[in-house]
Amino acid sequence: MSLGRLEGGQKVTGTARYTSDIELPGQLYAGILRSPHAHARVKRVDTSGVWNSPGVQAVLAHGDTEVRWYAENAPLLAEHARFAGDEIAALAATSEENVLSALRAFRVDYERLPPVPDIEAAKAGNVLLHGDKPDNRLAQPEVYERGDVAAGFAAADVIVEAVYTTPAALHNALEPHGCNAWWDGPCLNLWVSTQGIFSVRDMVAEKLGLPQNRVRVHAEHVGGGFGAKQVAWKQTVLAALLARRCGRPVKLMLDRPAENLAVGNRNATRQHVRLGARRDGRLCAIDVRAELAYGAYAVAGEGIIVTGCYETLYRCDNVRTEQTAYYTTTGPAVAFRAPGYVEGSFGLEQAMDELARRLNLDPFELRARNYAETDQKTSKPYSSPEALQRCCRTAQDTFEWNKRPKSRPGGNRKRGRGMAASIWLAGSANPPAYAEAVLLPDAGLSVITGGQDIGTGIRTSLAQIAADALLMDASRVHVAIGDTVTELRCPTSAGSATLPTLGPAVLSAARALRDRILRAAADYLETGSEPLTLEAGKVSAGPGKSVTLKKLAAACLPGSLRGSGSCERSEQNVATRTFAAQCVEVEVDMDTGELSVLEVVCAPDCGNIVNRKLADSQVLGGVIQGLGFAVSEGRVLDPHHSVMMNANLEEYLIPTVCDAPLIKHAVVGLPDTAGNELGIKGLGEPPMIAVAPAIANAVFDATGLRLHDLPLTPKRILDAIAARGSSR
Amino acid sequence: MNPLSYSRLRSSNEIRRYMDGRSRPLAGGTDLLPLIKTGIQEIGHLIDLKASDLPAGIARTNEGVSIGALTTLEEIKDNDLLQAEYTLLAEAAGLTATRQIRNRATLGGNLLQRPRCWYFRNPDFHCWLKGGDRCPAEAGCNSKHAIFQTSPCKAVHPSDLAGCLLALNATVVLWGSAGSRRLPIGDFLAPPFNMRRTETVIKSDELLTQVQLPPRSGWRSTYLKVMERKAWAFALAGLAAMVKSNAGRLADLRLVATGVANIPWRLGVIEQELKNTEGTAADIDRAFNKMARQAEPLAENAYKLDLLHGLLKKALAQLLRH
Repeated sequence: MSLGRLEGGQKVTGTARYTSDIELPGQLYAGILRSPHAHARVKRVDTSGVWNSPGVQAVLAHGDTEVRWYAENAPLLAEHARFAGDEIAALAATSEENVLSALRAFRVDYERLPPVPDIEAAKAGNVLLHGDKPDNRLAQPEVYERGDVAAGFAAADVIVEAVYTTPAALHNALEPHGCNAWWDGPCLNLWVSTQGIFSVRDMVAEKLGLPQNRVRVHAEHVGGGFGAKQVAWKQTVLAALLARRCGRPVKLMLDRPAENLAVGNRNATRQHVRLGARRDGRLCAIDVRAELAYGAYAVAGEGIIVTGCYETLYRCDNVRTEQTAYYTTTGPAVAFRAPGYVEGSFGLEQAMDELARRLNLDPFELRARNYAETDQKTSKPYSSPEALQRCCRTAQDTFEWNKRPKSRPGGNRKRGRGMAASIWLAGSANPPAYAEAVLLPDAGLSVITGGQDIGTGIRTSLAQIAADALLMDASRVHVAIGDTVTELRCPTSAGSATLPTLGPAVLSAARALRDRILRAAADYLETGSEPLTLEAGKVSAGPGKSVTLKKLAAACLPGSLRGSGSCERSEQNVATRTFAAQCVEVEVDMDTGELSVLEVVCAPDCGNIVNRKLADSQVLGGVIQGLGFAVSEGRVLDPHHSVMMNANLEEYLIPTVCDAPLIKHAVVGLPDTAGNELGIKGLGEPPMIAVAPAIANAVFDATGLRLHDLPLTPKRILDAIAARGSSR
Repeated sequence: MNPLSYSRLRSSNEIRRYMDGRSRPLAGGTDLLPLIKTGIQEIGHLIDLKASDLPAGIARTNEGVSIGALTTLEEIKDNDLLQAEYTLLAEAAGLTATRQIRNRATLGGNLLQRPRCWYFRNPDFHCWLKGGDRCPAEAGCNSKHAIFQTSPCKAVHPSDLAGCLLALNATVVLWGSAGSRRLPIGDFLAPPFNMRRTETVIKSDELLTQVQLPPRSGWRSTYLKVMERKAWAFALAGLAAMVKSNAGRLADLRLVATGVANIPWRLGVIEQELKNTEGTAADIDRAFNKMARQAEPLAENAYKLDLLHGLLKKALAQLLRH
């Protein structure tokens, strides 16, 4: 069944209210003063001009709050600015215009310090971002080892080796981060654009020293998150502090530059990759050293594993991986749609392509010869051991990999095709999740749960699951989400976990309600032991003995027909992972370096599909985001000032509709029932992971150019052509 | 944002009274408003021209074609006359921005827009063009900057249309308190220098009211543009190309590159070298290599020369195919 997105009409007509649309009586607006310097000591913040600016109601600077932030326990408002965009002060005023004027009235004395723009500068260690972190390392390198890598390489017939780099990428959700904060007596209400109402609730309560039951977080519609909105950022607490000072509601939405500078990014990586294989293609050694430019601070709870795919995607007995994260004077990194795996796969899957060519093997065949049915890190079997095989076959068939003729366009244009595979460590349940299902006196069904919709359409999928369980029409179901006061805690919308966690919780709530309805119907119909059936809005106990849900609900105590459900465990005996395979065709104009992606076939493994339309949307969105990462996106950082030059949507080039190729969702549809009887896994992240390497492999196929650095811009392609030839 | 006053004026005479150097004319506003909002441009008063009786629209005249400065880029893109006789101009308009922006943006504003250089547009950099001492792009992020150096400023002119108008040898009409004057577009666009840190010679009390195109019968033309995505980006480089051929030879040609200098860059050396040749691959390579000696690429933008070479090959192949 493909129920249309329940809130789709509201969204396309502009009536869906996002955080920035919430206006309250007495509303104030807030803004943040950010450091223009990447590294500086804040000697003095002069606010006298600010207070003379019209409409200013409250000002906060370093010293006005004890709150500390990030894993480094840095002050909420910096006295030591560590990236251009670091928060220095905040204010609230009576209009957005007054906020902008007042922000210009701050006078700040900065003592500029040398910036640490990249991994090289960080490793040099001349300037330490945090005094207690030698060599600007977040921690000791994370090393993983199995087998004997040296022996593996010694036994190898073929070795491929290269360095791959990926740039910092910005989430740039269309709706920026922001919130509206107001105090109702001792209780703080927050309307937040977030991926995790409970994570924000808990964090704000902790930071402000409030009991959790005095903080209520709402999120009705969220205009995208992609990982950057899975934690509460500073502005949430700043808005709450300003609202308390003013005794009025305070709205603080970030502008586009702030969105690019200060609330997360996919960190830049450098990966030194070495693969060794026997003549028959079997991998005998994998070695990778990954270095990450992590930014100025660590966001607590973030685990970005660039080496993850090297450790698990292919069967190999001898593996060594090493990952080191360095502090740099750039905005802090945070999860971004399959964090680590998107970056890592760019290196691994190009190295595999190189290996296939060296061995004269079809790239699918090389992968088949190194197929892993177990998670080699935990030795547990995969919940769907055949999933990647199925993905590969489905992608191959849909793309007609073996039959497709090599097309030859005119002029100096060349076409090529490439494939890549991926694994993602998530996509299973992330418990707990709780849900309630209530049959109302008018026989409508309310499903209440504490998740949030970041644009995936989760309300629709949950309505479908509940309606199916009660054999009723989905149009009678209303799904309420996005309010912590329900205390129906659900996970943050991350790790492709929402549907596989909330889906089973809603299913069990609907079943509990069904049982309650049947018991009530048994009393109402005064049946003995006859079996009761619930279908099409009525309960029957045999011919002539039935009651409609409407009649039954009216006869019961209002609100008594209810069921609670939960998802409190995840499968422990198997490793639940999500896989994908992608095939692409590209065209490269050798005269101008222009790269056109013509077609992408994406075959992701997500278990059963609940709603085909919404699943297709995830595939389209993931592929397009992967395309941007591959061809046009990337933070441009001035090397001397460590300032982001393209912190706007004019210069940070996300794909337009003209850039989007023909995208085919090749449905795999392999149920994975290890975690839940619905057989579902998540789909948010897998479609993005293998896009960039598949494109790079296709570029090689077309041009013979192996491009090691993203994004694949005309400059990169022309530079590579020039480096190969004699010109310049 | 600083306080800003605004008037919407109808008659040219009223507008003339306001043109005292402290006010700025506002047409589409697609460049001016972002400049004001980011504080790059400080303006006290805006005179909205959109409802005024200043010339708008495209008309054939005795001397060719006249385009009012208030004509939108979408009108230029869709105009039959321009598509037929000034093909490159209609093509360039179609490759500019997005339909939403083209419906608002005007020809006058397009020619007067400021560079998109990310240092110039960043309020935290006091670059040379904004009155500072030096150009931070020179030793900074300069992959999108000039490869032909004519000014301390390394930014490139952002307009696609300006390159086409230079190829067409158009004339602009400026109208100010001292009356009106006509300038060849090649004189109107001028690299910024110490005493005038702007890209045109327009005075603060002047309005750009019209662009006049000379007749161009017998020419074939095209505008090619390379961007980092398929739409809604400024040119990494572009080429406005016009040729007149005779019995398989290039009787005459005019070539202007965009995205490579402070102003649209006439490729005079290539024009001379290719004149009276058949425009073979060898001819093109020889001519291009001779011109390329004039280029002084910065650390990150040598690729723009290859790009220009590629565009030249494509444009001539396309124009000589007929």
